[in-house]
Amino acid sequence: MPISVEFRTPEGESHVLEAEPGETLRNLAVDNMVPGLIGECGGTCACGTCHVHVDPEWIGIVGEVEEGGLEDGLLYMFESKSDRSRLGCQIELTEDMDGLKVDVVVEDF
Amino acid sequence: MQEAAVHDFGGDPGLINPDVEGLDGSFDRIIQEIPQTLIRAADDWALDPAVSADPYPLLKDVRDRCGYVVRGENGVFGGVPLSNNWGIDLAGTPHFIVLGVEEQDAIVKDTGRFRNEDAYGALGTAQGVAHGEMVGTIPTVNDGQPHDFLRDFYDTFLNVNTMAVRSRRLIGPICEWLIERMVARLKRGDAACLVRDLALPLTYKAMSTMLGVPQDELPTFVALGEKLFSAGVNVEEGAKAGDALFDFFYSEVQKRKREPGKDALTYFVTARKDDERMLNDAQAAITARFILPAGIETTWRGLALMLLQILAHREQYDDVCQDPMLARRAVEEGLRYAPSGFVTPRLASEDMVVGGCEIPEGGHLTILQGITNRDPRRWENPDVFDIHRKFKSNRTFNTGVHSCAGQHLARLEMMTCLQLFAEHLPNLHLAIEPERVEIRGFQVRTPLRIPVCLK
Ligand code: HEM
Ligand code: FES
Repeated sequence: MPISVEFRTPEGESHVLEAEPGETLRNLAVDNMVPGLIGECGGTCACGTCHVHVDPEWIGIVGEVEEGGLEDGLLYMFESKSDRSRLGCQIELTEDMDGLKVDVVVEDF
Repeated sequence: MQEAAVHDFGGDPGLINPDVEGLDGSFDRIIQEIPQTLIRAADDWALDPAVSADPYPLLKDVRDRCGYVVRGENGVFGGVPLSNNWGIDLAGTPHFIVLGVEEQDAIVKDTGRFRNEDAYGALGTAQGVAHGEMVGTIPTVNDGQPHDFLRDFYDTFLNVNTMAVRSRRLIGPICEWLIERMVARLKRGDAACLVRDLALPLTYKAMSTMLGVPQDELPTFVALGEKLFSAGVNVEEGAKAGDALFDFFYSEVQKRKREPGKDALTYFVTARKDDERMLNDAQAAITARFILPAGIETTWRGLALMLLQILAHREQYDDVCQDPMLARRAVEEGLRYAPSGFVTPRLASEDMVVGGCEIPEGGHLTILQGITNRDPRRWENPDVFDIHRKFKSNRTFNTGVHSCAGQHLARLEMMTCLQLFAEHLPNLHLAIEPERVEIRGFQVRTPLRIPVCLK
């Protein structure tokens, strides 16, 4: 069953997309050209250009970043890191994420 | 023969989760007996000594004079002779080097026109051969579907989540043991070296444990690794070591089929797709053997080079000791500034133009990620080691579909090690001036000795 995911850009645009559970948030955004979510490294947790802030209502379901791991270490490099920060390539969409909302974080690369 | 029950390894890290054994006097003896010839560059002998000692200024000069893609004449590029690592026919094959990030990305993302097959030449082919016969293959020399099939297989056991768990369970304890041993040596007045006493044994032990090499066989494994790595110097010995390693893993594969363990070899023989085993026995042994050049020799050198750079920039090491969350920054800057794996080849399947340079069909390209990592169009002051710089991803593991399958493991090993250094060794110093540390080789850069002391 496809699910629905909303990306909100810093410019205030909203992109609501249909997704298949199993794909990553990064691939969904890149395949649909969501502005600002570049996903430069291809999803290998290496670049940080798939950074999102997960909506407060959804962070419990998506899960916070694991403390001290590779993803945390990469996010720690960015001033825009918050306790809702995740890398889109490390989020595998599941059926219970239907309705998920995330804010795209654009770094000045 | 009864095969082991099928596991669905999926993303479950618990299933490849061996216990670390032999952290005792036997490991100490193995470390003392590491052959000195293992601590060298595979291609130093074939290189111009100036290139081997420090390729950076020479190649940056070529880039500034000749551009980001440079055509070679008989292996010489803008006046700089480089080793012919892939054994290409230099007289008959137009050959190029790639020195810029944009050009690298354009090439590796165009998988239809820039191919991996045959790009690695004899070196790639040898990875699939045992006893003179082609019995298996590796992802690096395949394109399209055959590559993607193998890549799926590697990604399942090397994915970021499973690696995180293994890093804590496997790399952490080995690293702590080695740190304690190093401190004890230094306190006794013995010398300690980050190559022999840390990076090399850590990587060999961690990877061999993960694979499932019985730890009483570790000395044999290290000795064969040394011969395999020296294949360039002694082709016959190298091939013999390749065969011996194949036989060794082939027999372990038979054992795992009877008695599954919690190691990667068990995954190799039980992984299934569409109800069929993904790898047959020979392919499983080839895969295990490939981890040596791809995952061990690259990683210990990369770890040692990163530690050298951070210790050479003392105030930055102090910063990491103050805030160990900076470890990832330090690892990325180490990977960018001083990568071990320096080169990646491709073969052009059509005429085209890259970076203003005409590449004919059949042209061979060697991407120098060691140099693209210092592209001034992407990084400010690229020749400065600065963990606090504005972060932009580097190209040490390449990018695109062939980007390193083991990068999470390599990064985690480096991060775990640096964080443990920060915790236990804030008073560790290089025992000689950093400029006096000799680094050699082109294909994989190798620091020969990094003596350290406590202050
Ligand atoms: C610092 C350490 C390492 C460096 C510098 C490194 C470098 C690279 C590079 C540049 C490639 C891309 C080759 C290409 O595009 O043709 C690659 C591929 C690969 N690496 Fe690594 N590597 C390292 C560690 C590891 C580890 C630890 C493993 C496994 C345990 C590993 C397994 C592989 C595999 C299987 C591939 C083939 C990927 C493919 O073709 O899809 N590497 N590596
Ligand atoms: S796509 Fe590069 S870190 Fe997620």
